[in-house]
Amino acid sequence: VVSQTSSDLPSSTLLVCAGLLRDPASLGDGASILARHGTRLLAILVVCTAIVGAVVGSYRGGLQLGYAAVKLALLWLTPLLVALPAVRAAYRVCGIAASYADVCAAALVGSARAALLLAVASPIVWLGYSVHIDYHVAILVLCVVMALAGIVLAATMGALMPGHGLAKTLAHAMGLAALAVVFVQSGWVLRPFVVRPRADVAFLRPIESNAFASIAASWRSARGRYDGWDVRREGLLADPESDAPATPPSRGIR
Amino acid sequence: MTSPASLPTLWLGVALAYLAVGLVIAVMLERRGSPRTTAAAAIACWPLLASLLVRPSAPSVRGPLGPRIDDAAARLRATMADPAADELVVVEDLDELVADLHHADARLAMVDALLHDVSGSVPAAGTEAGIVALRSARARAAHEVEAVVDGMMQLRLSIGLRSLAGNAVPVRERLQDLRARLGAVEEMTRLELEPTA
Repeated sequence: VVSQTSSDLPSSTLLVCAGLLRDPASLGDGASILARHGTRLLAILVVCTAIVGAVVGSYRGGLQLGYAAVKLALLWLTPLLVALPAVRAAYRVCGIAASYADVCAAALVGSARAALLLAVASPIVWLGYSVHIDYHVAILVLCVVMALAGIVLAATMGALMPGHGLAKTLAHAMGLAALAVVFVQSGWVLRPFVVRPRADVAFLRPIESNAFASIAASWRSARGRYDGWDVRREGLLADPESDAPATPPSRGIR
Repeated sequence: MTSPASLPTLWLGVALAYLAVGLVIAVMLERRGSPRTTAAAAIACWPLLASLLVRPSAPSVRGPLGPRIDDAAARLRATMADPAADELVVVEDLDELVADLHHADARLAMVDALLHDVSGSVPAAGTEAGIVALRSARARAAHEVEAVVDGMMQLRLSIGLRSLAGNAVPVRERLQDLRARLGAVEEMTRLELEPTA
């Protein structure tokens, strides 16, 4: 399906989409995927995640449509630009000779496939958001959809990477953990994606704490200890010399 | 400690450095013949596309057909560079074919050196059959490499025909067929040598 002639050039992005959905391995391997389809795969990834972002932004509407579209595309690109050397290191540590081109190609194909499926499923998400489901349910829906897309990415990437057996399983798990950490923290920095219908719209919330501290605080709250929720600015963008808590977000924005 | 006032400067510096690296990689990719869209994408996404700079290198050993391969590749590249042949053949396909040809040529050079070495001494008992088989396999491999080089020359004519006749001439498939033919040489040689092994 994906083998192309020059006469296919005008529709070759559609052929790449077909290859992604039917048989990602047919796109080639390693450097040949990057050379022949790299730009198209990047375009598919950015456009599809932007579509999903716009759908998520539709819960609030207005400017949030564009903000969420841009941020969701950034959210999916950031792990690919930052964490792939760690994925390759995980494979090499487990004795699997994976070139950096292999890792980049597998991650790019996996991400593009997941993004394509996300875009295909986005009308269902949009339907739910358009009837104004509860705000917390809307956030949970977004998390579940992202988790499902992550499973697609993991499975596709695993099928395309070299190696086999327990070593590959271990290497893949370590690599995915690195990608997941970057993805989660990027999502934390880039929030909000879902904004209450009558809340103010902001491109980014103030930098405060990190995703994992927030999860730990949620865990403590679930066990009846409601401490540890003081919002403090942390990280490179925050003011490390100030002990004062950051300005809490306006009520209703999450 | 980083003062708040310096933060925008810091982030601006990091962003500019990132884009500068991307720009350098984009220029290098463009000079190596990658499509401009790929080079442009590399400005923002260079960590993903930088591995395109590391292509399979040609072997250091040159074989008997090295000059013919270089000549055919140069002529085909010149034809591909003609505006009328724009985007008919992907540059990476040709790069991979030329790299495969040079590797096959280097293997021929190794076999030639081996046969020259063996023919200079008195052959040990029982090695004549092996030498004959090696000569035969070498001749077959050389014939296939020459056929692929000839095919590259014919491809130039196909590109010219394509520019006149339109989509009916499958230029890219022919290039891929040449690479597949070259890849089949090893398999054919293995099958040929099986009875003597």
